[in-house]
Amino acid sequence: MKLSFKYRFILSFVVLEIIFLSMIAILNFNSIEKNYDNFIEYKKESLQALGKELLLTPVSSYDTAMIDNIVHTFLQLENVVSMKVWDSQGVLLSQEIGELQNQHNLLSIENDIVLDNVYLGKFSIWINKDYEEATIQLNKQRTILLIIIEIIISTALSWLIGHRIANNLNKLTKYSEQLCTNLNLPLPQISGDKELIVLSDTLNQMREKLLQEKHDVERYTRIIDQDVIVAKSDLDGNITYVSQAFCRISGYTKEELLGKNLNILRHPDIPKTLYEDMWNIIKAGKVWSGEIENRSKDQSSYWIQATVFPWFDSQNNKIGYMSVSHDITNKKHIEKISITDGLTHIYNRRHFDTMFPKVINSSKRNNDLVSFLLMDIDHFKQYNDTYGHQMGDEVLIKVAACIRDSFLRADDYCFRLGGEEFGVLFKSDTKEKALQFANTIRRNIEHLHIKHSGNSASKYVTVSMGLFCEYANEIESTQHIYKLADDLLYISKENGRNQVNA
Amino acid sequence: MKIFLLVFLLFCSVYAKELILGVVPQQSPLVLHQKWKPLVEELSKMTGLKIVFKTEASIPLFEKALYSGQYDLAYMNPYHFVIANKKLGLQAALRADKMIQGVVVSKNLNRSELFEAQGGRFLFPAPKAFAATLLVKYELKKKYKIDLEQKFKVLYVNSHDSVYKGVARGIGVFGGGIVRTFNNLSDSRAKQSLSIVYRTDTYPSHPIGFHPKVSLEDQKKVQEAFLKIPNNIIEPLNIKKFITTSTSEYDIVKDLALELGIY
Repeated sequence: MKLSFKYRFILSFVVLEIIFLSMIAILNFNSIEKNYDNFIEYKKESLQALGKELLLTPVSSYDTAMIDNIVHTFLQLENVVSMKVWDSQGVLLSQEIGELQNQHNLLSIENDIVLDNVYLGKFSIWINKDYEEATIQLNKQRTILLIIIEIIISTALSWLIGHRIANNLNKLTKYSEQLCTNLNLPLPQISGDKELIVLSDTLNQMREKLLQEKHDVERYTRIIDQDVIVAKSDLDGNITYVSQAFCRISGYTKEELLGKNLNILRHPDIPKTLYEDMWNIIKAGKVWSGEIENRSKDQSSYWIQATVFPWFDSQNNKIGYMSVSHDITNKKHIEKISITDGLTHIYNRRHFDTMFPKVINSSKRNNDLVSFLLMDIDHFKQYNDTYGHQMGDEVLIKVAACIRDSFLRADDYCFRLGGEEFGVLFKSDTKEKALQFANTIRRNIEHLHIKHSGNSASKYVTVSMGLFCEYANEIESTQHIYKLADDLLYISKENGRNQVNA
Repeated sequence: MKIFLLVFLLFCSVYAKELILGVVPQQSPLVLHQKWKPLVEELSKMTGLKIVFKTEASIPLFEKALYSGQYDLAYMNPYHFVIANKKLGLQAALRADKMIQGVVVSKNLNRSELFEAQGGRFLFPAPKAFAATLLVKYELKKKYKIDLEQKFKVLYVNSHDSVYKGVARGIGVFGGGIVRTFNNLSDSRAKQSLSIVYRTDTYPSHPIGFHPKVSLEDQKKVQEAFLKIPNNIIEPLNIKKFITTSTSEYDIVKDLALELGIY
């Protein structure tokens, strides 16, 4: 059972008091009894001495009147019940018998009256032991009564003190409990004990500090909420919290998002492997960081640079994940512009220069067969001269679109490398298939049926191609490949155009 | 100046002439003093003399002071008087208007057995107690030729009450006392068990005697004052009134002393 401070205080006070007083009582009782024994002995001796002294003369002279007086005087003494005096022959000289003489508990004190070795007589005095014992009992009772009074007083006193301290403590305890939910609560009035006042002052200081920090945190939270894209989820990816910024970018309201799985934002363009990687990392308790394209409520896409990390409770149990992101849609857009050819909307030469070594490098892992197809629109200068530059641009756009539409794989890339020069980077299982693919493109372009009167190879717009295929590990350099492909293209042109040389 | 002082001193000494009144210590000096004080003050007032009360701690001390002439006048028992008369020429002037009578008490024995009995203790208060001791011894010796000292073991037990109580408790077979103290005995059990077996003749009570050095004039003044003293003042002394007496009234006591061989 847990006692409150007040009762423990009172209880310990009273227990101590009882122990202390019991010790006093035991000592006191011992002392009373010892005193009693001493007192009886002392009384006996005193009465013997006094009786002998007083009776000596009157007994020796048979002064019975005097003896009577002495006996009577003795009976006035406390507890003396009876007294008798005899002469040397045993004649009773005087006696006075009290009312209590028949009692059993009498102490008889006898003494001879002797003068110079002559026996003159003797006397007996009976004293009431009951009375003495009653006195002891009375003393003990008084002691016990005093102890009881003492205990009552000290209990009351400890009650008062305990109540006062406990009252203040209770106030403070209740106050601190309420503080958990409401930091604005003013401090209750605490008076009296210095320690409690210090405690309450400290509590108040803590409260004010917490309040200040809470305001700061709230301000920061508001800023973060407004400007930082934050989402929290449980371990299964169900959303438990989203910031205002998150709502804004995703186009959903908080209510729409809470409880939903994060995958409602997934963009179909993002490969599944990226998500798998991410989950593996964060499930292992690590931090994942990367760029993701998401799909908003209105199906438009947006890019974020996200950092995702596990989220723990105060007991360090993993309870979910948190992602902090920022919007990189614009950056992505600019990036796209910088690598895209403005006219044909396919990748430009700059991107080719970046991508070519990357593709080779990534292909080295499986030693894939890398194919580089370089092509030129045949007699494009004549076309411009004949149909005008505007029509020439149209041809470029159509050819680029045709090349792109011919692609079979996601990692096939096409580039506008110069005025009418296009390049395609692709992978294929065999050289034959690569050649086949190149011819497919060539045919598709011719089949656009764009009239070109100045073309020596066809009446339509055609392309000449140089195809170079090599296993990734065999490739010396991009320049070398480019050179070889260019040479092959030259051969195609020499041989009459609208053909592939591999 | 010197003459003036001398006259003054003389005058003072005449005015302050002192008469010392010695009183036999039958009771404690303090009790006596309280009882006699009003009388002494009254006498001083009436006579113009300075009467000074004096007593002693015990009878022997009183006897010594009396016989050495330290008192100008004294209240004493008749035996003391006859001795002081013999030694100093003390003259009896006054006495209480009553007579003293000695008695013999016994528990079991009667009057005839007093004369026949032999052995046992005969209790008296003190050797020189006038009525209780001397009168009894004297009369028994004079009238019945009984010498108590020979027939009994005489025991002096200090007080009249002790005599009566002692006889009642079997310490002595007979005891000598006086009627008044016997009647006043507070121990009623003792009193009831006792009976008076013999009464002496009556004798004049305690006299007040003057030392011859006191002038007759002063003696007369004091004597007259005593006779005129109001009753209420002498009541505590158990005296109704004082009457005049003379030394010759105590001749019988002188005879007693002679008979008992103590003169």
